[in-house]
Amino acid sequence: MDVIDLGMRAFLINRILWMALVLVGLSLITFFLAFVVPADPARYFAGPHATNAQVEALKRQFGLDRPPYEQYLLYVWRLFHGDLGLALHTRSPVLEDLAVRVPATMELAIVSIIIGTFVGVFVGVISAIKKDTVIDVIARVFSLGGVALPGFFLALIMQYIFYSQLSWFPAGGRIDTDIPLQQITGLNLLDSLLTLNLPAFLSSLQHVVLPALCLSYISLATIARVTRSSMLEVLSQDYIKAARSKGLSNFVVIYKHALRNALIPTSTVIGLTFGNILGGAVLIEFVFRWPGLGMYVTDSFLTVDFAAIMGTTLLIVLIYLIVNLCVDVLYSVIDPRVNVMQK
Amino acid sequence: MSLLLSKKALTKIQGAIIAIVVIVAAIIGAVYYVTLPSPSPPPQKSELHYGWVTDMTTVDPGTGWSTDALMIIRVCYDRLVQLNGSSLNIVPSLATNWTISPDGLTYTFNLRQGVKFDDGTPFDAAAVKKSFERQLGIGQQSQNFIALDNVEVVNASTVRFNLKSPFAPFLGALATCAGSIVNPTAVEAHKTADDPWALGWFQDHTNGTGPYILQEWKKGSSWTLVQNPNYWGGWKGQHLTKITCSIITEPATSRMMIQKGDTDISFFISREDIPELQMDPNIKIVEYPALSTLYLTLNNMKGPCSDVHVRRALSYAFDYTSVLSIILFHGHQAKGAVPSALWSSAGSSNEETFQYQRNITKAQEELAQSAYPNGGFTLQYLWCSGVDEERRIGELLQSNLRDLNINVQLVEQTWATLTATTTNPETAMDIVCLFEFGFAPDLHFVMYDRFHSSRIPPGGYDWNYFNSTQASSLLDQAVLTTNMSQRASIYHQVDDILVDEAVSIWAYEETKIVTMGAWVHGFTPNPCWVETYNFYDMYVVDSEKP
Repeated sequence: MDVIDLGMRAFLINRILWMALVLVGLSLITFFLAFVVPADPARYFAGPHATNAQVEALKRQFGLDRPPYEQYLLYVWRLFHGDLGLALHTRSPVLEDLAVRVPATMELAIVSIIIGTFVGVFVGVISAIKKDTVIDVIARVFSLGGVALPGFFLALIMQYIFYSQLSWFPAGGRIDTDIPLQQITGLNLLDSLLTLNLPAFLSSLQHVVLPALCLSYISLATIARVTRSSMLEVLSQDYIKAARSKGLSNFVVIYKHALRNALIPTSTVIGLTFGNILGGAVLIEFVFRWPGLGMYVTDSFLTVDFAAIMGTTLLIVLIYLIVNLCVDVLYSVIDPRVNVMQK
Repeated sequence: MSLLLSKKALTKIQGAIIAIVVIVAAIIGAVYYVTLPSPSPPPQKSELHYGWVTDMTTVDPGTGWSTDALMIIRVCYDRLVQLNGSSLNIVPSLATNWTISPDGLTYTFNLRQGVKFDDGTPFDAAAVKKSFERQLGIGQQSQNFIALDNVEVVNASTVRFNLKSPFAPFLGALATCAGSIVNPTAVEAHKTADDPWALGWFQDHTNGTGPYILQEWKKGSSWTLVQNPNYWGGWKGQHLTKITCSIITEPATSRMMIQKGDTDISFFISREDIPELQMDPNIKIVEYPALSTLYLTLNNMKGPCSDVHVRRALSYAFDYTSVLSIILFHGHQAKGAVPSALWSSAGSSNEETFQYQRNITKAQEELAQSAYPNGGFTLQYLWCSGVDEERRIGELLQSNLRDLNINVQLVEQTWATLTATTTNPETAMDIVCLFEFGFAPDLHFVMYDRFHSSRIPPGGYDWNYFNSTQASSLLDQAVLTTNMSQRASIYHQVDDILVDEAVSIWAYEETKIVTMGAWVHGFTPNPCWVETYNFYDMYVVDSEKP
C-alpha cells in the first residue's frame, strides 16, 4: 500500500476547514441551548424594581424581543464585523471583557503548563529510571495527589499556609494595586519586561506563583504518569540496547534517544491537559481572585447572558482547537517519521 | 529487565533540572525580600482597603441599582437631601432648606452656596434641573420620580420641582441614589449622537460634588477612590484620603485578609466565623438592623395558596423560632409586611402588629375551613441557587407542613431564571423564597412596589400576585397625604390587611454584620444604606494595626 503524503499545507487547510465547521455547529447548539433555559436578561439588567415599560424598552434596545433565529443571524452578522455584542451582566462589550480576561487566564495557564511540563517530565523520567525504588514510590504518590486532590481544596490550603501563616505570597490578584503597569499584551509578566518595569515584574511574579503551582499540580500528575509509562516502554526497546552497546553515554541515551521518543504520547497529553487547565482555572481563579475567564464564564451562565456565553464558548473552543492543531504539527517535529496526513 | 545505567548520566540530567529549580527558587526568594508584602503606606495618610464580592458594573446614578454601584455613587455624588447618621430622618445636603406647597404639588429648594463639582464647575440650580432631566431621559432608574412633571430654575440658587400629583414620599425619593446630582458640563462634553446622556462615560467615571472621585477601575480586580479637593464639606479633621477595593470572591480569603490587616473592613464574612473573630482583640464586629427581610411569597392568584385559609394555615405551621438558627440568631422574627426599622420614617413603629406563631391546632382549624381540610396536596417552593439559607428554610418548611399532610417540593433556579419564572403568571410557583432590601426611607416604596395591584407581574414586584382593591386604594391614599401621622395610620391599616390575609410568610429580619479592624473609626451604619460605607466620616489609625 502506498503512503500518500499530501504535505503540510494541505493538512493545515483541511484542519482549518474542519475547525470552522466545529465552530459553526457549536455556535448553533450553544445559542439555542440558551433559549431552552427561561431567563429574562433585560429584567436582570434593569433591576427588580424597574417597571414593565422600562424592561420592555431595554428588550427592544438589545433585540431580545425578536425570534431566536433572527437573533442568531444578527449575532453572526455582527460577529463578522468584529462585534461580539454587549455583555449584560457587566454592561461592557464582550470583546472588551475578553480582552481583559483572556490574557489573564492565558498567563496563568501558560505558567502552569510550563511548570507542569518541566516538573511532570522530570518526575516521570526519574520515576522510570528509578523504577520500583523509594524515589519512584514517592514520585507516584506525589502524582496521585495531583489527580485526586480537588484543586479548590489545594488552593485554599496553599493560601492558608503560604499567605496567612507564612506571609510569603499575597492572598490573590495579579499585581499590587498601587504599582502601575502599561498594558500591551495583557500578560503582566511579558508587559513588565517589555516596558522594563521591574517592580511590576516582581509583583506579577509574586502573585502568579501560588495559583500557577495549584493549577500545574493537576496537570503535572498526568504528565508524570504518562511520561513514566512511555519512558519505561521506550527504555525496554532494542534500539536502546543497541545505542548503549555502541558505547554511547547514558546521558545521550536517555536524552537524545529515549526521551524524544517517550515525549510523543506526553505531548498529546500536554495538549489535552491545556483544556483541563482552562477548566480547572475557574476554581483556582475564584480562590486567588484572578480576574480571568473562569468567573466571567460562570457569571455569564448564571445570568444567561447570551452574548457573553457565545463569546466565551467560541473563544475557548477556538483556543482548544488551535492548541491541538499545534500539538499535531509538533509530532512531526519531535519524530520525523510521523506523518500526520497518512492515507 | 534491568536498566544498567551509570550514575554519571543520571547526575547530568538531574543536575541540570535541579539547577533550574534552584534558580527559580532563588528568584522567588529574591522576590520575597525585594517586594515584602507590606499593605500599609506611610502613616500620614488615612487609607482604607476593603473587599467586595463582585465587580462593579456601572457607577452611573442613571443606571446603577446594585450594591456595588451604590457604594461608589453614595460617596462620589451628593443629593439635595440626605439621611441623618443611623436614622431615616431627612436632613439638608445640597439643599439647605425647602418649602412644600399646601397642595403638595410644588417643592422649592434653596441651594447651598459655594459648592463645586470635582472639576471645579460651580454647582447651581441648572445642574439640578439637568440631572433630573437626564434621570428621566435615561428612564432606567427613574421609578422613584414618576410623579415628577418638570424641574424649574427659579434662580441660580433656587430650584423648584413641579409634580403631576401629590407624592408624599418625594423627599425620601430625593435622598436615594437615583436623586444624585451629576455635572452637566461632563454630560455635554461626553455625549454623542448615539449616546445623548453620556451613558458610556458615566459608566466608569464619576463627576459629582461628593467627597470622593473614582480614580481608577481595573475591571475584574479593583477600584480606587481619591479625595475630591473641591468638596464643600472641607477636609479639616480626620477623613479617609484614599479608598481601594479589591474583589474577594471567597469568604475564607476575606477572613484571612482582615485578620492579617490586609483589608480593613468587610461585610463579607461568614456568620460561622463571627464567634472566633469576636475573640480577636484586633477585630471589632458591629451588628445593626437593616431593611432586610426574608419572606416566602405565597401565590395569591392560583393554586392552593390562593385560598386565604390555606395561607393562614401555612403561617401558623411555620416554625419561626427554629428558622433563626439558620442565621445563627443574628436577627429576629419579622413583624408585619415591612422591615421594622422602616416604620421610623413615618414616625411610628410596628410593635402592635400581629405576629403568627407556630401553632398546629390553629393551623389545622384554618385548613379545615379551606377546600383541602385534610391537606393532601403538593406545593412547589422555589429558591435561588447559591443561597444556602433559602434551601434550608425550604427543608424546614417541608418538615413543618408534614404536620398538615402537605408536601413541599423544592425547586432550585439561578436568579436570572427565577426572575423569569416568577414574573410570568403562567409559570409562577406556589412559594418563592426572597430577600427584600429597602433602599428608600419611606414605607411607600416597599409597600406599593410589592402589594399594589398595579404591580402584579409581568412588570411589577408584587410576586405574591396579591390583588386587593381595598389595600390598593389605601396605598394610593397614603401617597397623596402629606400628614405624617395620617400616613402612618393608613400604612398600619394596609399592614393589618396583609397580615390578616397572610399574603406571605414573613420569616425573619436579619441584622447586618460588619467586621473591621480595631484601627478603623467613624463607621456609622444606616439601615437604608445597607452594605455601603460612610467613607468621609471614617478614618484609619495605622499605629493601631497589628
